Amino acid sequence: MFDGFRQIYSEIPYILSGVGVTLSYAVIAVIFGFWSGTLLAVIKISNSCILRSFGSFYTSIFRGTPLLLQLFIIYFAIPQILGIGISAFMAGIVAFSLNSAAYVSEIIRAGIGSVDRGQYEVAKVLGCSRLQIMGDIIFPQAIRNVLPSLVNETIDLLKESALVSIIGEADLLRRANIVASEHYLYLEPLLVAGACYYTLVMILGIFAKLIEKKLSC
Amino acid sequence: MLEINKLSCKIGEDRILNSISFKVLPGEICTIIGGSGAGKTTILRILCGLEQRFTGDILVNGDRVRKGANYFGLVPQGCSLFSHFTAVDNVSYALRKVKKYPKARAHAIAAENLAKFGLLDKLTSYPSSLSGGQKQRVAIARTIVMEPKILLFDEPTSALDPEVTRDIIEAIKTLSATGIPILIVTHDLPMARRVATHVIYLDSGSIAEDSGAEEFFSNPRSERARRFLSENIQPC
Repeated sequence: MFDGFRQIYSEIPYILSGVGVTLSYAVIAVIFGFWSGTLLAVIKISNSCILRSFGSFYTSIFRGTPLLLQLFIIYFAIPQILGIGISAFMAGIVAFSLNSAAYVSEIIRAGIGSVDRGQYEVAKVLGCSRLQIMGDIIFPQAIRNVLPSLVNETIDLLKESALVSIIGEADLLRRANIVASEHYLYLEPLLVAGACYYTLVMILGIFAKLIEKKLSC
Repeated sequence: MLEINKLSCKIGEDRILNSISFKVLPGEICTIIGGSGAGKTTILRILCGLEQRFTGDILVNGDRVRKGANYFGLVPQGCSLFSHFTAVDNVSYALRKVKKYPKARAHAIAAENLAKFGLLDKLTSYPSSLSGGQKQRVAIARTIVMEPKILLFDEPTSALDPEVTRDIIEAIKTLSATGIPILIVTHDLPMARRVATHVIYLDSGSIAEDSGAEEFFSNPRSERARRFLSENIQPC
């Protein structure tokens, strides 16, 4: 095995540079997924029946079909309908963000539900607007309550980003595969990629713990 | 002065309140007592604007009100402090956001009010580190800084030990001495007896008795009130 590592030693920086690609997918999709998921959560608890139905329908579609299928539809089928090409990067970001939004919206909806309704009512009696109550009182507590679930979702997203390797994006996994097929050695490059994913997830876990500690009161 | 005329509330098929009328005068501490489901809390919810399904008139100092937010201050059951804010932020929040006071001014007013309740050393404490009585006092301070015209308490002594209950009663009496009408909903009859100047006994959404506290507890007029007292009151 050590001999195998020696053989691919010069290729390791190439595999490691995939970390940036993987991270760029994860970070951008987490940001878009979080904000669109939040918007979707607000839609789901709105007074409008139409908006609520839209929210439920959206979630059912994105939770009810495989992420890989969604990625294929965005990368292959949308250009077929619209007649315009879409880059693998863009397709990945759009698919991951839309998919993540569905899951995040459910997490945040549960978080909002976990905050004592009495606080909402007190703030209302004090004269605060609905926006102030949601923004200052309910939302920060909701996020604090569901932080572990949001971290799980981020970890999932980071790992699922490996799916873009299927549509040709040179992420961590794809680079490991390229090196593997060049050297006819599979274990070593895949172990390097695995170690990278694992390290990223561990670092994310440490960050999450720090944030959780900061938010706890 | 708070004046309620023919207040009725029907939610679905349930008639919660049945044409009730009463007054709370300045400096009066009125307690509404009654069994579970008598409609006590619904009265507070209507006054605060949290329940809109009602008919009847609510007048504060002669002005008819529809939405209570500007007139009524509510100290809810269980306090409902904002758990991610410190005590001083709980009290100053509405001053900043609703009255638009600058942060420093809101903070100073909040600190001053918390000090009045003996909480000067708890300004930066989070609700999770406060005792039940301290939470209740922060909740009272949070309400009174907004200078409501009528003060409402929903079960202020539920789940508090006797010593803390005594402190809260003293706090309520001190507030009443400023002349603000106070309305308390409670099932804690010993507390009601110690604090009230005026008692309303509510039974199945109707006022069964409305009288002075002394008279109510020593010689209730209605048979229903007499039975309720004999079943519920503990020696205090």
